[in-house]
Amino acid sequence: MISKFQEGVITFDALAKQEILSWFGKTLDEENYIIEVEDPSQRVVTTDGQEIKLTEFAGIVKGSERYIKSDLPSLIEFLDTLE
Amino acid sequence: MSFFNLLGKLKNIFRGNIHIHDLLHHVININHIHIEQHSPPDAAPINEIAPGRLILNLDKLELSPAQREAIKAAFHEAVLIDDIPLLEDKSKERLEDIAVSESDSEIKILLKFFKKIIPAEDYAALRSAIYIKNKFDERAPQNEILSLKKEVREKFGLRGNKISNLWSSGYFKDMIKPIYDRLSSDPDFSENDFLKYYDLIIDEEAFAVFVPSTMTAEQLISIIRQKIKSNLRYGVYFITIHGIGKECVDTINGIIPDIETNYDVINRAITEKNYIIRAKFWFRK
Repeated sequence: MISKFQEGVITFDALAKQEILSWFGKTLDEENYIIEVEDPSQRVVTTDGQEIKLTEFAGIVKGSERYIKSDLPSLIEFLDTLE
Repeated sequence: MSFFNLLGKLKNIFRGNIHIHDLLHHVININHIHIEQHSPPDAAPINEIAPGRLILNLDKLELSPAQREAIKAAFHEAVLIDDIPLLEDKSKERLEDIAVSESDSEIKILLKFFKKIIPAEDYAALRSAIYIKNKFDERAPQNEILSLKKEVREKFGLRGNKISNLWSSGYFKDMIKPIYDRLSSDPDFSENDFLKYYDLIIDEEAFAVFVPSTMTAEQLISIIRQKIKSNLRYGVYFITIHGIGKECVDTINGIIPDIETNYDVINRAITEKNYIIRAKFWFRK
């Protein structure tokens, strides 16, 4: 098991994504991209500037509220920050 | 400690609900909370589904507006202040799966080796390739493999596919690493020498033949004929043959007359150094 997860991890199922996003002040635009509730013109991006659709949303971690995408290369990149 | 803070907050939020409060009070060593929004009809609002693992069924909690705000604040703080990762369950599983795949001792050694010698973007693509090959070997469903390959192509383009193909065929381990080892043993070696060679291997991956040392001349001739036929069908009027080691170099040199006799070769470029050979032939259109 990844050591960071042994310290503690919160998970959610795919159907809870929108509720989780709402906790962080996020919602979706008409194209299903994650946006700021308070500034709907502002799409949420990953650390390398990629916009994130709801289907691609993998989670949130500390680091100026870092949003993670669920594709394989993004998860591999993210894994380095966990170990 | 951070998880302890989150549990403390949840206990406080649910202090009016004896069942939930008691459950939160008695669970020990919790390090995983899973949140669901659409739980089965008979699901409890909160349950310990496995040692150390709590499930929180949001749709069963019947939260007041104040409790909802308090829950939101508790998780907000857990993630952004206490540094607890908040992840979709499938992505968490995928991360654990990747970590297992990269924990293999041989893979670790190869990754450490290639990290130092290939471009960072290729190294990232290589890690994806290793994971995809593992899933393939585990007989993962074809749609999962295709989906992973698509993600690699979207991120790294055609080069990502080529790296994936080369890894799957064993050429990173059996060809590229030995080429680096051999080239770097030369006193005049520069990293650039290797990178030029490496780029050629990646660029021409689909149209090249990589010759293992155990291959006989007859086998090689048969493979080369098939590859030329396939290349010509795609409108590619060249073939590149790579080999490393004395036996391999001898085998490749030995079959060159066969190519030149049976095909309309208009140009050829053969480089051979330190028992590393690259032979490229261009054919008339």
